[in-house]
Amino acid sequence: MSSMTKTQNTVAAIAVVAVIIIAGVGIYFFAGSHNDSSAEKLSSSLLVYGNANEDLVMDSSDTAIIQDIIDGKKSFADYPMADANQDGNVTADDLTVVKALIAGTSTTAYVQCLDLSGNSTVVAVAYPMKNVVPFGTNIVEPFLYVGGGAYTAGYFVSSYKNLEASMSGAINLGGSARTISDVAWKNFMQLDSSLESSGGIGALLVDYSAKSQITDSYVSDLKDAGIPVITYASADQVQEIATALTLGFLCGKTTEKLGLSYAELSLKVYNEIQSKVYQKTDENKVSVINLTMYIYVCQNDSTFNQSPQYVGALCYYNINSAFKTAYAGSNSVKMEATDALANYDDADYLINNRSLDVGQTDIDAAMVEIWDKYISYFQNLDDYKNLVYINNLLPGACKLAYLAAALYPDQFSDSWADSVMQSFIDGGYAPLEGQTLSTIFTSFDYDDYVAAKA
Amino acid sequence: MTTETLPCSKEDLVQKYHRQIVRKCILIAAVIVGIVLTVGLLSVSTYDSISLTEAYQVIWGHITGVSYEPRSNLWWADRYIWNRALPRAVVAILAGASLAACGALMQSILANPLADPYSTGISSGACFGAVAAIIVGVSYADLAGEAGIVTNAFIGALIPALMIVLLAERIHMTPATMILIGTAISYFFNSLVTFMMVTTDADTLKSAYLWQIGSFDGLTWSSVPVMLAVTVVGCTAVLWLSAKLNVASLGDNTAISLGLDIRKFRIMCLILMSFMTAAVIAFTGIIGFVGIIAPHLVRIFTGADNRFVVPTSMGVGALLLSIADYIALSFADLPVGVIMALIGSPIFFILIIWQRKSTGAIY
Repeated sequence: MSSMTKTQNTVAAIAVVAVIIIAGVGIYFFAGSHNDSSAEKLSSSLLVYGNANEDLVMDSSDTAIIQDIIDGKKSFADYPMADANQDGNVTADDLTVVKALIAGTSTTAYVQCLDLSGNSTVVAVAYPMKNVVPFGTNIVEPFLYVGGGAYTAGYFVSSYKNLEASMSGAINLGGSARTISDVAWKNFMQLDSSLESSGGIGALLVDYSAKSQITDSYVSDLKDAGIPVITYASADQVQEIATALTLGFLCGKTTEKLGLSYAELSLKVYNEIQSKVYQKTDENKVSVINLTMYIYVCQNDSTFNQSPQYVGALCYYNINSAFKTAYAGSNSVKMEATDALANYDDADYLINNRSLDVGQTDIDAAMVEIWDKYISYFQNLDDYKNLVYINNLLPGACKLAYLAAALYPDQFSDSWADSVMQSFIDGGYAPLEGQTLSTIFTSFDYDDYVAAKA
Repeated sequence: MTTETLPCSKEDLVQKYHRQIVRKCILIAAVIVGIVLTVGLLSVSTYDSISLTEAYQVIWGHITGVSYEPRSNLWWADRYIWNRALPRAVVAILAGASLAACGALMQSILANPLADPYSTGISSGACFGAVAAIIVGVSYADLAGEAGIVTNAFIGALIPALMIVLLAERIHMTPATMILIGTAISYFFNSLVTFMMVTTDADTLKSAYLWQIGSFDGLTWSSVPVMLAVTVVGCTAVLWLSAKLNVASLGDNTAISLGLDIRKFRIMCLILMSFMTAAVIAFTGIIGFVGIIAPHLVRIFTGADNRFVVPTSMGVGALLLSIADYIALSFADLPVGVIMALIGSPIFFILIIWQRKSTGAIY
């Protein structure tokens, strides 16, 4: 019996050691990095190298600067964007590239964007860009606004039939707005091989907030195939300006014009807002909790939390350390229960960013349905009547305008915000063509809800 | 000196022996051909713009270092099949072989035709670990995401086996006792799993539930090394033990009288089986029926001799799971665990109805 006990103890001890070893092997094989970083901020200019003066266009002023650098009259260090071909020097070769970009003839463009870790990077793409595949709402929409639909070869499911009608001629690769399944990726591969004669897929455009769907395996495929990946954090309304401008430029002259008008209009609105709010101090700023997809609370470093700051408001985590701790991160967290925000009901406003298609036939009914759908999560809060829904699919400047009107009604009126929206409707941007203020869901609050329900 | 009269002639016996050998050879050949065919069909199913012949060409070409025009159809097919279809196929073969070998092992040492790799509560331990990682975010190795789930499931699967080993020194451990302890452990872990699942939100609940069903979705080559190493070592060990399994299946008293330390042998087999099963279900979730039906199917052709049942069960288990995965992927878009249950339960039902001793039934 004692030898049996000794044997079994030995067996058990060996088993425990083996478990630890195998677990260690498992850790070695499977431990991966868990990148949840926020994106680096890029400037609001044309993010194509060769744009030496970092404005909104590539023109003769850029060629003049490059020539001055070649001639020694200016320093390359002062104009880092002058290196159009990214060879580390500014030479006549850069002039050749810039002239081709200005003329709209074929060349290789070097684009400043983000990598999937959120760091600034440079991507080479064939200019003019074509056979594009966009992924992620926050990059699909600005791309379509500047006419990119005509250059889209495929997409990973269209969730907004009307807004995204301009890419209906492209191939639906499957997946969803938030996931790329293996089948969808297989379709992407087959699309690329079917376009072999025209150079294959020109670029994959990625919304930074959807980066987790571009797995390491897909990255490897893209790298080996030489398919450029252009990533932007366009949920940030100011970054969206550069996104639309740059993507419009890359697809050629038609979209370049639309991108430029979109950027100019957006910057005009942004500057108008800034001129009225820049002097606000923290004491007279309103506080905001940002939400998305109805009941997901945006974490502190979420790109959505940039928008309140652009209109002179404070994100709530800046004034409540418990909230700051609870919502650390750069994504969004689902509210687990209807009282998830019970401890934070002293925020001045709750801003709910919700994507809603254009072409609405009964906005009042939609408004009531949206409000009632998840009101149980908010109605017990003191500030629930300050819940405001804003359509995430609007042009970024329109979102800022409606946000400013909601947060500072004494400085920005609803009619002013509507005029901004109308400017974009009249601007010739494909997703808004044929739409009016009564077919586009812009924003609404409690008072609008009550009026609609009546 | 008289000559006894045999119940049948010498020629009849030789013919019967040859027929048995032929049956076994046909079965093994069919299994190998079936596996090769299923791998090809799975490849074509996942990358449907090439033919079956091209799929085999691509696989063979990858092994021999053939390269294709970048971004051509075959270039992409090579990448997709090699990085997505083949890992699934390899996992299906390894998992099927391992679970079937474990099933044969368990049925012999417990002398119970209903025994399978999960009879001692391994599946519930693995479930508990995985669900804890998914719902609560608790991980033994403080790993997040998929790595945490796999590690938790692996370690969780071994806990019931460790408990049985530790209990074995305190109580008289018979096959029935082992199964009863396994059942008790299962109930305990299942109750913890249920508690976690009822307190979580719908999305997380779905993830946790899907893990329990058993799936090959998302498996890559990184999932293979641990499973391969444990399966190869484990199956080799089971093969080496197959003669002793024959002795063990005769019952405790007979085994002891033939010189086998049945208690020690049973514990050793349990630990071996636990590691093999844990290495599979940590990555795939719980896939049932392979461990039960593969050995029974094999016994129809080979008889009950474990020296033939064990290796052939590995092949049949690998084939069954490969076929289930092909059906799951191509026709049903369902997890392979569901398809395996849908295939396995009717087969098992038929086996029970048609069982007889002459076909190697052990019950």
